[in-house]
Amino acid sequence: MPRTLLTDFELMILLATLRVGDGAYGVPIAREIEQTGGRPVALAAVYAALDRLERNGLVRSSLGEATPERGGRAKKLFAVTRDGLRAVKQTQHALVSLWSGVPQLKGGRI
Amino acid sequence: MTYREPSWLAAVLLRFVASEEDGLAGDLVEELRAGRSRAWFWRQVVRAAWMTLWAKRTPSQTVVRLTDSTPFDRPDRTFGLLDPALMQLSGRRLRGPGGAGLLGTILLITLVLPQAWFLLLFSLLGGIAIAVVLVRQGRDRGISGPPGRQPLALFDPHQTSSIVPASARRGRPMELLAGV
Repeated sequence: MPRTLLTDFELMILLATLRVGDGAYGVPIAREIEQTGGRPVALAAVYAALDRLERNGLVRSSLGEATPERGGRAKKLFAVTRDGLRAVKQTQHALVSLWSGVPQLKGGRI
Repeated sequence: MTYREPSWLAAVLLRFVASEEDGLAGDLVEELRAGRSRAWFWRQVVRAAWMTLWAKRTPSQTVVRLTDSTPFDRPDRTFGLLDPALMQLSGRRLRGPGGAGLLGTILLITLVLPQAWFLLLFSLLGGIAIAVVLVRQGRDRGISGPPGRQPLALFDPHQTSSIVPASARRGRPMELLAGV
């Protein structure tokens, strides 16, 4: 299987989905990225990325229950597939390889 | 328990850009009811609309284009014809944001002067009525030709026999031309 390297936003989406765990959907995924990534995220952007990842087989989705808080609409729950997990590891490996041996990045200060 | 509701205009726009199965509409409503402001809701809807329009204008599928089989045509013309997002209903090329401009006009009319929609409706109905009357009049008159002649006289066998040689009537058009 060819190596799959993710964009930074796709990587953040997959990592946030993994961190949220069961019952991951748009709102907690976006919140996780905002809190840990430190940048505001549009929900539409999250769904666009999740849709793209699902088409590539890196996440799978299922419909949850409809609740009155959501105006009777069902949640769309996402889970990372094995291919998605493999893609995250490959991207991590590639990034760590790039990071290592760069003298400017040594030490704690920026 | 009462919930905070989005403005009707934002809800209508959201219905255009996100289906019920998407999860986006439910998430936005959930966040609004959890305490987010209406301004936040509007920003999210506008961004979703923008992303939808952008996705429509940049199709992800790269299919075999017609230019592969017609290499002598100008590529920009062929691409424009093949991409319905770039064509108006009149067949002209769409310039600028296209659908966004139409949407903006609709929003502007709805916000500033909603009564204008009635004018548009009456104009549409009036146009249809005029078209129906004209079509009926045309049917009653039949196909018009030169004055004093029957419109289908060209195909009248009696008249044709007087001006067309017999050889031509047997299927030899070149002799007919020579006779003329």
